[in-house]
Amino acid sequence: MGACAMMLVLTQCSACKEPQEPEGNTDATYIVHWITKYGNDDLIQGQTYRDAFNRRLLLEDLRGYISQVALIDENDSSIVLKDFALMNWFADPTISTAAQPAKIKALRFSLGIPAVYNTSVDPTTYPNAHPLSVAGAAGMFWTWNTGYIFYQLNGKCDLSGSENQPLIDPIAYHCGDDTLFRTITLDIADVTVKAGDAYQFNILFDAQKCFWNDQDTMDLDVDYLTHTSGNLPLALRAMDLYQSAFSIP
Amino acid sequence: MKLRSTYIGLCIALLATAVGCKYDIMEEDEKTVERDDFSNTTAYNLQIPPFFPPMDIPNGNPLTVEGVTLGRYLFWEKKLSLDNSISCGSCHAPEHNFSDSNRFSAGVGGTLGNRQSMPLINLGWAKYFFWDGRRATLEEQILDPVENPIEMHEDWDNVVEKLAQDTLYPPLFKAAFGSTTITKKRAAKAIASFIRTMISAGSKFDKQRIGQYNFTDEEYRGFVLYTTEGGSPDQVPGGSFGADCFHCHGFGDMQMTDGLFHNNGLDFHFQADPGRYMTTLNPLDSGKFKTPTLRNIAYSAPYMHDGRFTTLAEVIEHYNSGGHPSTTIDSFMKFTSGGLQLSATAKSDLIAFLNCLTDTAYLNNPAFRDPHE
Ligand code: HEC
Ligand code: HEC
Repeated sequence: MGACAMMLVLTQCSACKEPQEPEGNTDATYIVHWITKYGNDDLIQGQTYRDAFNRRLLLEDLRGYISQVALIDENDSSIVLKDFALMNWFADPTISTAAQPAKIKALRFSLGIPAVYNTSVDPTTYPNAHPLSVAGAAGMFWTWNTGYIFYQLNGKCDLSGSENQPLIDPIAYHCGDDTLFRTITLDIADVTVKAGDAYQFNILFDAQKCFWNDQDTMDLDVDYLTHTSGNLPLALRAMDLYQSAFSIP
Repeated sequence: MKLRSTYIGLCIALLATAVGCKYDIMEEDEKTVERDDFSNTTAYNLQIPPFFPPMDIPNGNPLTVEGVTLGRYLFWEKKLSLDNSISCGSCHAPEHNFSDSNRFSAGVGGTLGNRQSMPLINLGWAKYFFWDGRRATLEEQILDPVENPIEMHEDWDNVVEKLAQDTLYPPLFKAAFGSTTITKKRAAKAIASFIRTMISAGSKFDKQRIGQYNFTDEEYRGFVLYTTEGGSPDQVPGGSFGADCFHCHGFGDMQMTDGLFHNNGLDFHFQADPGRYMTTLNPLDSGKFKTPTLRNIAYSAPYMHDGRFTTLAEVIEHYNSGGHPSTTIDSFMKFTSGGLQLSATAKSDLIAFLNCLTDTAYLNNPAFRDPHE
């Protein structure tokens, strides 16, 4: 029995083992973490919050594509951590990648899918695990000529102003169109990350700003539905608000 | 004793892994631990139709001609049921889009369930199975109907026994898995392989997409409605008097479903069947069901998880009304804004387009018919 186990271990090692990491790690590990809030509260799926008019609203789905997530170093060159990711903002999202050590001065990522990938690549050509495949898009894809939904917020609110009626009035912002593609650059105090080190950058996502900020306020009585096509003005506003939800805490 | 044989089996299995790295190790769910050996099988030449995504075949269950053949026999095998009276095909009949024309299917002894049977079509691309999506793979899903008291109501051990005594099966299992050993896992793998080959891509819609068919005016208007935002612009921001079907019955991958779960407004309350909630226990999932494909929809009646509608006209009337508001109804349903407000012509145009999803070659494909006959 012992011999058998021994042999097992041996054969396992020689045949099916993952290649070993080279001695001495020359890379740094970069972690980007989004802290998700609704105003002062934690962002939780199914939770009831308040809009700018103190009406109750409930968030059911809050997702978005981000692309070209990168760190900007002291020479203004970017270290790309991720090409595309579909973020579920309820899920405390984190991205982590090993890359060369550097002195980092800013974080950059885009909201949406760059035009060259948005409508000109057939999503069925990606493997199913890819975030841009139809399966990977998990509903964040319309049809072959309209491209991806960059940002999707679904929920319900109560327009009657009551405190106890069930929330049934719909909210649906489905934004996606090349004109809605946005890039966010967030400056930070310089950080030097050395080989072998792991460093976590935090970004705040405040979902309350998806409904109002200093410039604009959604009135859910009228501003409750856009699938981009047919209501581009509201989609543009929703995208602007969404963009303003990201900051350095 | 048991432990010892398991241990040796494990050694052999791991050894095999170490040497070839390509064999599947069966979990010890039955009396023996035996690995599947696919070395003498013939790879099944799966044709992925134009504009379909790749199909993910699980590692432990490569698609082989022998596996598919065995799966077809098992799919149509009445010995899978307690009194040898029904097969999978009894509730998934080819002439009804591999579903059932009865609102609720009769299981062994005529027992009725509370859900409509589901069409089996292009399931190799599905990520969830059953109306509530409680199973994540075909291999898991297939184990269920046999032991479900409202379906086949049989014990897998008995099924294995019955199949072992049937001269047909031991050689078929040997051809597919390398030995005559019959296990429920092997049976499920074979049926899953068979179901993966059940591909429909011959509808007018498929042909139109590859330039081999031109829609009639009526069909084209129906297609435009299908893909246009619903509602009157006075009541719905961006409304364009469309039918809004594409949001959930999407066709980016030609499947006419987004494969996700929605509440399309059938009811105010969901006590009768909470749907997806039964799997996730998340109140936000109450009343949500798997969006069914609309392929061959003309042959799938009756419609919805409880088969409440008998015609497509009734289905469209439902969507036209906007549905019943509830806390989980989908925001695409126009329940607060007077429904879709489709004209009589628009309704018949929409049905004309839905009929473009019919693929009779699929329904009549001899490769899917009962091989025991
Ligand atoms: C008594 C009727 C009956 C029998 C027999 C039966 N089914 Fe079904 N099948 C159903 C019903 C009803 C559902 C939906 C059940 C649910 O959602 O809870 C279903 C669902 C399914 C699904 C899920 C499809 C999807 O789109 O998610 C598959 C796959 C399936 N059955 C395969 C089989 C196989 C394989 C067999 C034989 C081993 C079988 N069924 C036997 C009635 C039956
Ligand atoms: C909000 C998402 C959504 C929209 C929009 C939608 N459907 Fe559905 N559809 C579903 C879901 C979910 C089901 C299954 C519901 C159930 O059984 O509880 C379904 C079921 C059906 C069925 C029955 C299928 C079967 O096998 O029983 C048909 C037919 C259908 N829809 C057609 C349409 C048409 C036509 C439109 C546009 C007018 C449309 N749907 C719009 C989500 C949607």
